[in-house]
Amino acid sequence: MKKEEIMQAINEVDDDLLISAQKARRKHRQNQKHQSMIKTAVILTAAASLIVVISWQMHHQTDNPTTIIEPGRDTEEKTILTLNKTITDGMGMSVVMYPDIKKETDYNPWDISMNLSALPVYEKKTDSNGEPMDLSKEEMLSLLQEYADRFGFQITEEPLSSFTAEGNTFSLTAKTKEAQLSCYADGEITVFFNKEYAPRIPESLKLNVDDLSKEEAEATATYLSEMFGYLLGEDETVWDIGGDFGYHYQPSEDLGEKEGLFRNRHYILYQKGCDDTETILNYAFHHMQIWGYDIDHPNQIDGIRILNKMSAYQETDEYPLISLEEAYEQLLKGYCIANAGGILPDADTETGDVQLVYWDNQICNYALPCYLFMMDITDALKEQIGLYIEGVRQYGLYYVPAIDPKYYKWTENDISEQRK
Amino acid sequence: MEDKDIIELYWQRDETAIRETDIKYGSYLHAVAFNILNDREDAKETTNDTYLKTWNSIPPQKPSAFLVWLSRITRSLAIDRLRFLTRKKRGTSQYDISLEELEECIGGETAVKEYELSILKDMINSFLRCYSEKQRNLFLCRYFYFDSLKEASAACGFSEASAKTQLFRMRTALKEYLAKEGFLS
Repeated sequence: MKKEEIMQAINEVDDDLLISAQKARRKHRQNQKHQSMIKTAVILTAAASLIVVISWQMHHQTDNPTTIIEPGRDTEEKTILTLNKTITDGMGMSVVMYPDIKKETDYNPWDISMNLSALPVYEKKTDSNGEPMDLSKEEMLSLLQEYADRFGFQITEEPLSSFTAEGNTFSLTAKTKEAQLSCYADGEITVFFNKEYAPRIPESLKLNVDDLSKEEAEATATYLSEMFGYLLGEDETVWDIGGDFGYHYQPSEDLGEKEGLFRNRHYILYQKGCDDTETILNYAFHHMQIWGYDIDHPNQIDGIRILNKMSAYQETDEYPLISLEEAYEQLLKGYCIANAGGILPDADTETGDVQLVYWDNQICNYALPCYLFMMDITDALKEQIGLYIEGVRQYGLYYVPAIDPKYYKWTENDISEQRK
Repeated sequence: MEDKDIIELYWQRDETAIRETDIKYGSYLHAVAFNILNDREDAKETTNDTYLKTWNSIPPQKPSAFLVWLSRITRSLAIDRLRFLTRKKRGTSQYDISLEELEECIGGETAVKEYELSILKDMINSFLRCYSEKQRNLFLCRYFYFDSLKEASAACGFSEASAKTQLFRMRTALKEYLAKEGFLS
């Protein structure tokens, strides 16, 4: 056999084997870019007064390589997660409102047909004392400078620290002629444009009108993708123009608010990954939100927020997923994370929609995949709290961990015990 | 643009299909070619040849994994191009290094018949499926994509030393497998 012939045979390797290798290479390249950005920024920032110019092609992805599970690996090696429930009867409920959620387009990238068998779980980075380890001041400074460069802005004065506590800097804010940029310790970047420099989309498109139709919003989102997609990276940009309804009890003429219902549509852009998992992770951890609120200029962009959540996390492992049916059983037992006025759904509660999302909050140390059940609790809210709004149904948000229950335990205050 | 939409453009003989392919995968394919040819101009020409071959192949073909399909064409064209280049350019690319490594797996330089190549392809697939995903990825990063040992090991989660050992063992096992099936003289 000639050596070229074996090379030729390797060229005909099955597609699924090549796809797997392709995925590993691509993830590695993205991680390399992120690591290089952080390292370069810290080195150059230490020299003071140097402006870091980083190519806009860098991605903000996890700075730890993905751990791929070897088949047959002993599952006992996986970390057992400790999760908190937050079920309260207090204010600030996690509830969304729609006339009928079943008639809404679900823009979440997950679909049940994806047949995902496992997804990564991320843990908040901690230092040697177990304290959360977010971005350092130098890293935030370099991120600020990087995004200023991407927008073509020049920072006009030394970024001022804001919200500093116990020696930790939680955010940095810099001013440019065109905008105010803030970087937060979890890697989030927020840009508030100064009015005279706020970018505008064509007048035929609108950003902040309450009664925008789905088609009009799609046209706006498409334009925004072309305009700002580069801020996320070089892959295809996709969008989410969902958002629920709100109610103006005390309308404001200044803000153009009329009494009654309004649509809270959002414009979220994210990158399509090389596979379904990467797309879901991009949507969860590295997306951009664009908004406008000037009622006199409905085509004006007033702000942009870019999430780089992986800055604050490290990957622990990939965990096997349970099915939607198994998750629903967990939900009925009360094993979920929720804040819906203390109301838990039962077998008679109608399911509005289910998505697969990543859930994380200040209390929990993990970002983990969850089935988000949106359950119609309109009647229960009316009966138990006296909360009711004409024209909309109210859907409580219930997060059921999508990973196999043998890999996590709940902390105390587990009200599911009441259900048993 | 979704792969299926790009492929549809080829079917409709819309020349924007080539532009869309270039936008989405141009840099990736260029990197595949460069790993073999170690020359930017040659890699660029190979990438352009890939588009031409794709245009001439779709239809009737309708690849289900578009990037994999394109990668195969680019790799194959790059290897063919390399064979015609001067001796001087050889020995510096990852392709040549990988080729030298794989020489361990083969016997003499007797040409394999065409039908035997098809069997050889199936055997390589079967061989690879005996290994974990991580090990398979390492093998393919090195011998399909011609990544350097450093890059291949990092992409697949091995240390360089461990990757080197893994690849050595896989080549040895492949040689034994091919010998057992009568492919080696």
